[in-house]
Amino acid sequence: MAKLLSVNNLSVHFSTGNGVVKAVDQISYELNTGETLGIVGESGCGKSVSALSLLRLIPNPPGKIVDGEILFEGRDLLKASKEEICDIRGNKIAMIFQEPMTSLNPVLTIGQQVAEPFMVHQQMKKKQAAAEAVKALKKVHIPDSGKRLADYPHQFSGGMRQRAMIAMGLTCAPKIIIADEPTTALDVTIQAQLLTLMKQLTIDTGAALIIITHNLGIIARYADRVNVMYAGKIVEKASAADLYKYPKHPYAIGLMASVPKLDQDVKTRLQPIEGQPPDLADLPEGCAFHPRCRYKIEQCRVSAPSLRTISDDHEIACWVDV
Amino acid sequence: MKRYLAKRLLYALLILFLVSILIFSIARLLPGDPIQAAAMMNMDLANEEIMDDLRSQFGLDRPVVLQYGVWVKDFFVGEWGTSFGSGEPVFEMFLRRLPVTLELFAGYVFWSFLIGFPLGVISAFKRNTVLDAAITSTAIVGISVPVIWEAIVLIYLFSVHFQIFPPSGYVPFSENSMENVLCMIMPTFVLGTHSAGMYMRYVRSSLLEVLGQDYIRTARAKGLKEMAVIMRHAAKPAMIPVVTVIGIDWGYVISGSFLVEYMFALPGFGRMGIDAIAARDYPVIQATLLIVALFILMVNLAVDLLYGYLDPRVRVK
Repeated sequence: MAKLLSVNNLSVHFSTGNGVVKAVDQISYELNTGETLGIVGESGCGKSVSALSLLRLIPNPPGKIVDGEILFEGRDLLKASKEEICDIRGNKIAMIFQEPMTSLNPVLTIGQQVAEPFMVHQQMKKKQAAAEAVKALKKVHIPDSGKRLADYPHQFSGGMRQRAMIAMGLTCAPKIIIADEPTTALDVTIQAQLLTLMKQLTIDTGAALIIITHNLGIIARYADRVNVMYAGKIVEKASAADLYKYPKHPYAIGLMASVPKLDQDVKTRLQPIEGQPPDLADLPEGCAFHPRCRYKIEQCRVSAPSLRTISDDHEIACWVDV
Repeated sequence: MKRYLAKRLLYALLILFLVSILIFSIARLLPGDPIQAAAMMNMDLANEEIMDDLRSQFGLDRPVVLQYGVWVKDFFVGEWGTSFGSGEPVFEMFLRRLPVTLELFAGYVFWSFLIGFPLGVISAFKRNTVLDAAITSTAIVGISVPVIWEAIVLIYLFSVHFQIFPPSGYVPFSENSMENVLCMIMPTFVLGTHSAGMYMRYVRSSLLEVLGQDYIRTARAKGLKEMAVIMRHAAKPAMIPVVTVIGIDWGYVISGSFLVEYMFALPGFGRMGIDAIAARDYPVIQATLLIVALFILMVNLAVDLLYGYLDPRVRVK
């Protein structure tokens, strides 16, 4: 598979009243054409920030991309001019946000918003863009899409809004689609519907998909490869199948143990990961996970491990072989 | 949208009806009546028979409800009665003063928008800089300084000390356009600066709030240029709170304009109203109050319609 995107040593810092928060700390990963990459982790582990920085959408101030490179089609997105980055946003790399209620503009019609990328990136006139928007809405199964074009977001149900968001993201047949918690606010049946739809559409267009979520079930079902993030760092990289069968990082092991499985004895208790996620402005010395880790050794208090390969296409950042 | 418009119009008419009753009653609730008041001045009238005769002549012996009906009917056909003071038809007095007040209002809108909006936008985009702090504190000064004090300071500075503008008085535009503009600059500026400070603060805060919304990030993620993001996605929602403030402010500016007309000796509605109250000139008081009420109602109606245009969620309800 061809390499589409590579992120090298990306660091994003936020300056807050309590000092500098390293929201994303020296992460590197690659994305191949047509594959689905899952990024999992707890709230505040830096998964959304790492995705937003791909399109340079980090609000600055307080956020700042301090280091690294993001190579896409042979150029570094972090060095691209404002015009170049506007040209990529929504066109080559599209983003589908969580919370479709607040992510759609309440005073513009669905049609206006879905048609916008066509007008910006393909220089279409209003009428032509509107016609394309109807097609785009049809693709995401919005019934009567010609009529619904004139509706405002508040006239759509939650699932329809998210579908409109997906339609908007897919308008220009982007190479990469980033879905940031795309189904958080929706009920389970609609979640499954939308993810299947999204996956199908990316297969149709050959786009790569990055799914950011804290829902391990979604990852298991839709992702090919997974990055597990903890406190701004990637702690485990593996294929989805591998991760579920043989999680190697203590944090990933903990995550798997905390999720109920259908085939498990009903009497077994779920095992939570003890403790709280760390304060990003005040990380512990050494490995950020060690205060909560059951397998910690002396080394963990002293220095932070970097990623090491343990088997084919499987890397972990841990001193211990569990 | 049509239903929304009809509903708003109906509300406005209902309120106008209630206000007209209020205005009419206030005049009737004062002790005595115009004939009695006139008789106090003129001994020839101090006779029960003559007074009753006059009352029937002016329709004052008719039932109050009927009197009210006649007043409303006459008001809408432009028969606003005659002033007790000058004997001039009230309607003509109004027509004569209308251009002065309209000019004052137009100038006020000009200054308040010209100063308030750009400064608010600049302040929002340069937030937490020295420039922002300077603009914001100037705005507070603008809001806090009383109209009367500002008028006196301006008159002292630009009429007494530098002698650029006339200190008071009014020259119609048709007579001398240059002098007309000169005599209106200070009064309109005084009224305008007061509101400009308020607009600036509302434009700043509402723009900042909108720019922090998720849908602005969505617009940026679609590849829209920053200018398009602001004009297409931020401007309309940011205007909603600002329109509210302008609507309220235009109601309040009437009292400010009464003061300014007095300070700068401009022959507008405000002057006429104050003089009429001092002279207990009932037809003029009634007409002035009703015109003010009508103006405020129209502003409110306009604000409601603008809401409907700006925010589709309002339209449906």
